[in-house]
Amino acid sequence: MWYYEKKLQKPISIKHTNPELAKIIITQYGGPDGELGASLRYLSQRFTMPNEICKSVCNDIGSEELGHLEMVGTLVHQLTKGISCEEVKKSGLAEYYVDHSTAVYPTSASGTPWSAASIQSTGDPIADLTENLAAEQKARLTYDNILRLSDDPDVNDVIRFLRAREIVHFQRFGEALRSVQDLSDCKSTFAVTPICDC
Amino acid sequence: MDQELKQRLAMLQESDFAADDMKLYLDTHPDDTAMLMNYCMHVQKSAMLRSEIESHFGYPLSAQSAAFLPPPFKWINSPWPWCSEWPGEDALLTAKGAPLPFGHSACGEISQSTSLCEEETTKMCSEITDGGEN
Repeated sequence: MWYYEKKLQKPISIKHTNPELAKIIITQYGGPDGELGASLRYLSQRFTMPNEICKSVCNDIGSEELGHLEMVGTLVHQLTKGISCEEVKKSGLAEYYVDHSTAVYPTSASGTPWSAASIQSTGDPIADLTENLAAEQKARLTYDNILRLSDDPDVNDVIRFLRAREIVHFQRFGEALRSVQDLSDCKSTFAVTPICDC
Repeated sequence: MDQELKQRLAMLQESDFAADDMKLYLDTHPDDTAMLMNYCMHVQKSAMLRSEIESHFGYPLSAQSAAFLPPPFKWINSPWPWCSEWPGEDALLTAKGAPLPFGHSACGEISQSTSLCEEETTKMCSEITDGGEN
């Protein structure tokens, strides 16, 4: 169960619109390594997690990612609010604008709409948690790339915050993975999840 | 938006975020009593700020809390958090060290400052975390 609270995890107040930047940042809303995929991935995987640590980590990080989805949507909204048609054309946002105006829509920067094909939920906690470690690193590097492309200090402040959260999540998923590996069959060369052994 | 309200909202966001981060740590370190104490203090601080924002300033952070405010239904009032009118972090800069001049139920009706709140919160959280060890 979730209840909405009327605040962001970190406040966002962007002073200058910049549709070119919005076109890039939208990828963390609905791109392959974005916040929508992250939240749905963890919140789906949690049902088959084997112990309290993994259940709580997937539940709580998945919930936090929903908050980050809201923050990325806020960035896109504030960067495009009230822009003119001239600005749309000049910034290269026209292909997006023709379908969505300045609404926020889950798509990658290159125009592929969000798809569940970009995430997994396997029922195998070692496979799932290892995917999550990679997902956090991919999100981190996407934020790194946004920082390379952006020179707006208000935007960069938010992006740095989100980037730092990916690193914390990576750490927690690593600890969750270790908690599963401790349960694994020690005689095996590779980690084997007891609940899935046939 | 009232300047004092902006400050309290910025303080709440900061305190809630600290608590969120500690919660994730506690998920994987449930036996860390010192962190549980720290978490307890931040959750208490947030509860006091939330109560003040909602009761004193009449700004409901949740639809449920709007049930306790006089009509009309204030949940729908702007600004919503994604609007640029929402207070930015500059409000937090001016809020650093600012006293909490209003009473909180968690700190007693006549409490006048954050230091008193912190004292009472520390005591309460210590009792909880000490209880866990026995």
